[in-house]
Amino acid sequence: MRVFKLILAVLFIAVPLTAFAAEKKANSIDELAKMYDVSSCKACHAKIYEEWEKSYHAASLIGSPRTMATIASAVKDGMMKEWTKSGVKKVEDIKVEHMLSCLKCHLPQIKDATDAVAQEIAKAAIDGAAGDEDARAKLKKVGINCLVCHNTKALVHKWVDGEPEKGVVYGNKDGAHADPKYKSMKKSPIMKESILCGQCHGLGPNFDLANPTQCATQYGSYLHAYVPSGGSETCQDCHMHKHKTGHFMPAYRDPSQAKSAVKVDVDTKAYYTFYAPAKGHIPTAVLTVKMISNAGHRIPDG
Amino acid sequence: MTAKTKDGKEVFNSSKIYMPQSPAYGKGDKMVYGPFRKSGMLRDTSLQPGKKTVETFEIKFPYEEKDGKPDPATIKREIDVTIKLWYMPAGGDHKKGVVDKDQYLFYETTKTVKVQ
Repeated sequence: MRVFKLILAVLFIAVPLTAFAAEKKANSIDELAKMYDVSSCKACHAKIYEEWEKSYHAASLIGSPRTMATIASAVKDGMMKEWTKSGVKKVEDIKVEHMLSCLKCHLPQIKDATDAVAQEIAKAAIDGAAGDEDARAKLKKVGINCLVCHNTKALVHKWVDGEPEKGVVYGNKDGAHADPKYKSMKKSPIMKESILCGQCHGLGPNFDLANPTQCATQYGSYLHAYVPSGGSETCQDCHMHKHKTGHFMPAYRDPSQAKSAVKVDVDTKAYYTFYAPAKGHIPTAVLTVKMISNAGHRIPDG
Repeated sequence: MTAKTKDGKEVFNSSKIYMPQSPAYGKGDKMVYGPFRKSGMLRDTSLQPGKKTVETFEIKFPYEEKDGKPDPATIKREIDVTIKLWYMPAGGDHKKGVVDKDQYLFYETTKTVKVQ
């Protein structure tokens, strides 16, 4: 009996300690922002940081602000209306798994947050889309920042390359890293490969979700149309290096990117058609517009 | 594409849309918008990588009829044709959008076409 009581006592202490040792999830957008704070990166990587700040990655819950409106629509029209078996009737019913429909790609760090954060984001998107600037500012606190590509998504084949490690920044080389929280650098085998981007820039329906959504299909187009057409450049080649846009990574917003994406030639001809002799010769201009896409994926795509 | 006579009168207006077109929830025959409901592909008219897309437009030069046929004395023998390629991230009407917000100009040219 004494042994039994001892075992019970040990269990009574061990189980809460175990739970305490497990990763604590963020319970608010502010907590999630703090968990993924990248402000210290700016000290050494100022140019890259400033490029990133202008990008849609930095405002991944807002976008142009088409993203914010689309997330709001996903909640109101999708979860609360068309997804009749989702269990969501109001914002308070929303769980992380519902918001993964958008946040799987627009905020991968949601995996480290509770349902409360999912609800907070849903509400802020709805309010922000209706014009609430405070709600929009709330959404701006979190986004696809340095840690998403340079840690969370830096290793994709976990059974080959392992899991991304805490305290490590993944890039192009191994070594020490002058940051109090991220003290070492390791080489990511995919940092310069399109598959890094493809993790979010999509293949089609997200079949891993209970209710597949389909937002980005670019990587699918890259794999199954661009590469078969003879293409050999990576996403990074075109969207970072070719036009020296770095971590801004623009697409249609950048004039040089747009110009290089599609080559257009226009031929003109004028003559008299004679399709129906009773109607006589009709003076006709013929315009032939030839467009060649040089992009690594269909245009438009996202 | 728009065509105008030399005195500025529009005599032709046409546009083509290039985009992937998806059904709702992978079923049915209706194209929808909204990533939360799109699944699959009904039709894809996008500009495809490495591929040439060719569009041909026939535009009649303006004229008046005489005895059911064009009156040569009335033919406007010169028109200016403007071709624009817009990128519209959220769709809509390219005549009503705000440039560099709702639509981005990928290409523009104006050609003068003359008939003898």
